[in-house]
Amino acid sequence: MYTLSRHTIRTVVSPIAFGLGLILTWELVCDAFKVSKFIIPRPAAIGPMFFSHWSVIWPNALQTLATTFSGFAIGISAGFLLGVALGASANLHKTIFATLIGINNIPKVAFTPLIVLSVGLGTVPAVITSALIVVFPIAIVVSASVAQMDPELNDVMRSLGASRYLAMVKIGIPQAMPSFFAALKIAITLALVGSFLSETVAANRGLGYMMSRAASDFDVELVFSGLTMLVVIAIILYVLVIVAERRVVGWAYRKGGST
Amino acid sequence: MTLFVRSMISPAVAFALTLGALALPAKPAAALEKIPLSLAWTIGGSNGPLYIAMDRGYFAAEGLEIDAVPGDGSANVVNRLASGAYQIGFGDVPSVIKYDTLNPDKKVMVIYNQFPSDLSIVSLKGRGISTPQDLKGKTIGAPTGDTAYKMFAAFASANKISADDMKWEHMAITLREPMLIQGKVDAITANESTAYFALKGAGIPDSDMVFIRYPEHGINLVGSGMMVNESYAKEHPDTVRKIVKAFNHGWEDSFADPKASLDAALKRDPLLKPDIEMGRLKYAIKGMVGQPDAKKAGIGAYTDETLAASIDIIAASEKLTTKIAPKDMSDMSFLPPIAERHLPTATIN
Repeated sequence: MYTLSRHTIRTVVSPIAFGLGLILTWELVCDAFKVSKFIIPRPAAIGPMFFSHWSVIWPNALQTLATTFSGFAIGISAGFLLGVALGASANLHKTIFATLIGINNIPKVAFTPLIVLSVGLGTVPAVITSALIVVFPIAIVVSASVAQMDPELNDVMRSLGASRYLAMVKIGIPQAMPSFFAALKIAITLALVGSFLSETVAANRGLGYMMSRAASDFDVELVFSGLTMLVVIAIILYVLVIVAERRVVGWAYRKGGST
Repeated sequence: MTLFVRSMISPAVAFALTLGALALPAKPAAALEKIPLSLAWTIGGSNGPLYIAMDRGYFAAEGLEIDAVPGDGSANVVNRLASGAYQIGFGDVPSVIKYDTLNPDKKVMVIYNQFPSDLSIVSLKGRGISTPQDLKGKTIGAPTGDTAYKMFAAFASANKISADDMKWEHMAITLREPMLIQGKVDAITANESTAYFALKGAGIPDSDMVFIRYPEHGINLVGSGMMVNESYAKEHPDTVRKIVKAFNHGWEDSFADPKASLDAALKRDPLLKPDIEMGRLKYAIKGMVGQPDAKKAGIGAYTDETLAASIDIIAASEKLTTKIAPKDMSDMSFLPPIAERHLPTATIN
């Protein structure tokens, strides 16, 4: 019982206390230095706005969540398949990897307007941007860990008559799962950034649209309410990935180890 | 994300400007007071008057050195001044009216009249739009911060239509004209000059452009002006007076020699297209010289009647509960004497 509660303190209470402490410091600093609300409004001013504008924030947050999830799902599926293919075939890797790295380095800020011009505005470009931003980190991480498949295990499998495909499914892919989930944690927040970015460029709904509109109306509190919502969404998505990770690749971690 | 990108772009441009400034011949070493100044947008032909005043030493003669930093939209200049990030800049006067009404304790004051607003609905031939009534049932593209979009309610009620009669699509300002050309929207809200030069740059002939101008449909609004943080103006009235004087001199020189004025701006940004920017500068000069206030009170001045008319329109379309008095959002006391603010004698084409 004693150890359990210490565990609870470490994993639940301390992060929350740290977050609250940060908000309290923010409030005190704004108060002490009389920071203008046009630079950073105080949490005490944002809080009530956040709740009174909930009916505006919520539908926009749902839209952003929907595009983030769709983009994330498409992005990780494509990234995973691409990563496995690249990891399994050295020739494919040599042929297209340099190009992939090149494409990955085009800033998405430059990409999104082009997407909008070809497919129109709103949900579709947000999903595409968010998927595009996710594909590459996943593919690169997965390909690296698939390529490092344990040679001894692979040899054993092959000498027992397993096909390359079976060795990949039984050894390569399971071995890549811990790195895959590590990449997911980065990818989920990137997906959110991608959706948000596209919404600021061209959309009639979503947190990105809401915040750029609020900024042009001098509504600083609503901008920060949107930011708060983004932070909350990012944390929730991150926690969801961790939960999924625990279920799928719990075997890879020490007991009580941190992720 | 975009805020981050924007904040990265401005320092980058400022850095490029600094490099450009270093390449210029060194001025005699006098202790000049450095004044950071926010432009409304990236450097363009209409900034010629500022740069010619800098190049001809009008600011240096007053003991000042202007550090002009590109902005990210004329409406955002008000935010920049209100936050204290900048003390002085060029921006959108309707935004000042709204901002000062809502924030009477921390105001931004308009101190120089540049040109009136040229808000317009812009469409292309073949889209079936030539009058406000034609907009019913059409799709209109509007950046959320666009002044013509924000004032649409006033335009609509003056022309017996409603914003609910059409479908609205919102996008970044850089995508607006491309989406119109592509046919993703039937019309856009814009400043005529911005849209005109963007469409022209994209190869659209003048004869294919359709403008439903707000001023021709009952909505005459103030446009671009020089503005200052009120507390700064109170603490440093002489500095503000000197800035306005040197800047006004730059306008006078630009009337006399638009080419020299344009060259001063082009020098700062080698990517600018000279013919397009010349068009912008001449458009700005025409707007400035042609407005009734310039004839009545000299270049750079606003009359209270003009401001009051705009305040009425903005209060109605932004649903403001109080109406600000012209003297609470503008201060014409920094202007040089009217003899130094005369209209150009030759007409500019």
